[in-house]
Amino acid sequence: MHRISAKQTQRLALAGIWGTGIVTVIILLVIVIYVLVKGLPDIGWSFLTSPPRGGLSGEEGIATAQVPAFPAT
Amino acid sequence: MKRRYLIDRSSRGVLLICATVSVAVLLAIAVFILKESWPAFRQIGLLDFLLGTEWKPVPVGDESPEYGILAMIVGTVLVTAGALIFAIPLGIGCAILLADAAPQRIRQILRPAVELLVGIPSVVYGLVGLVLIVPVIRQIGGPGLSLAAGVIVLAAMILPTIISISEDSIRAVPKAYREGALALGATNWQTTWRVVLPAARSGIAASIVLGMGRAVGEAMAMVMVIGMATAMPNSPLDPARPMAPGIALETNYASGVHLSALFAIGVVLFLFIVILNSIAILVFKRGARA
Repeated sequence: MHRISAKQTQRLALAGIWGTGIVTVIILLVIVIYVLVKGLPDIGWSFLTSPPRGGLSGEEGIATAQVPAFPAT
Repeated sequence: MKRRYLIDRSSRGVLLICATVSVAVLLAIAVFILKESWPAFRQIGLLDFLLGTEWKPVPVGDESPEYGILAMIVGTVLVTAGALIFAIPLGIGCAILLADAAPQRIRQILRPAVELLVGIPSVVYGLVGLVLIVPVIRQIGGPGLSLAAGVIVLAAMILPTIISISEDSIRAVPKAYREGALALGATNWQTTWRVVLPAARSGIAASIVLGMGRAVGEAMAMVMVIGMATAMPNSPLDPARPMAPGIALETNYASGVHLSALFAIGVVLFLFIVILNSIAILVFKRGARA
């Protein structure tokens, strides 16, 4: 069988490394962008300063959740 | 003169107290966990606990409760191994890229991004996994909340850890090694693969051990995406319940033997991590000697 030359190995390896790098960047970008796109539009003063409306309505803000969160951090 | 002596003595005393307190706290935690888990080991029996396949801590009707954690042990092993299979090649490849191959400008953008991602809380990974990955897996088959989803989320979670520590250790290899290899006529890749990576081996091993520890102990993200079924998983599309999220899910309402059994899971988890770490260290030490 034809032996792969050192140069070809190097080319293959470089391609592989760039591949892993690109996959990693895509994964990380997807996470960050997804969270920002879904989350940022909902953040505003009323979200941060008003308490949740109760139950599982998912409405109004997170003011009461921050009170325990701040001393803990 | 006298004052310096006093400062010296007293700071030594303070440091000694700090060290004693931290060791004592660790010991106290270990003793407490062992003490709390003792009733469970005695009532259930070590073998029934470790090898039992039924986990029914709150029995329905007049069944007797069952505390077998074999499915949880299998779940932990599978999800950790799966995550490592994806994360190790990706992480080390990316670390080589950042340390050796990438142009300066790309490095300057990527490096801080990776470090930022180490700090993302695991709930956020769980949330993204739940909303993005679980529906995709549901399309392939099964309930979606599954081992496969857990593996993908965990791999993404430990990837930044592996990348940043591996990159540091690759970068810490003395420049003379690289220059020596290049001067002997080796290509860039031969230098990286045969000289730099073996020299950075212990740091890369440390990054993998850290990532593994994070994967084994991860509770929150797993509760969200892995389905938490107590049955033994038969395929990657089945839900599973690893040990750490198994503890997290039930501590709220557990009492008596059930609570004690949760502590016993904690003991098993702890031993698990100790064994995994020792194996990793042994393997890499032996590799270094060869």
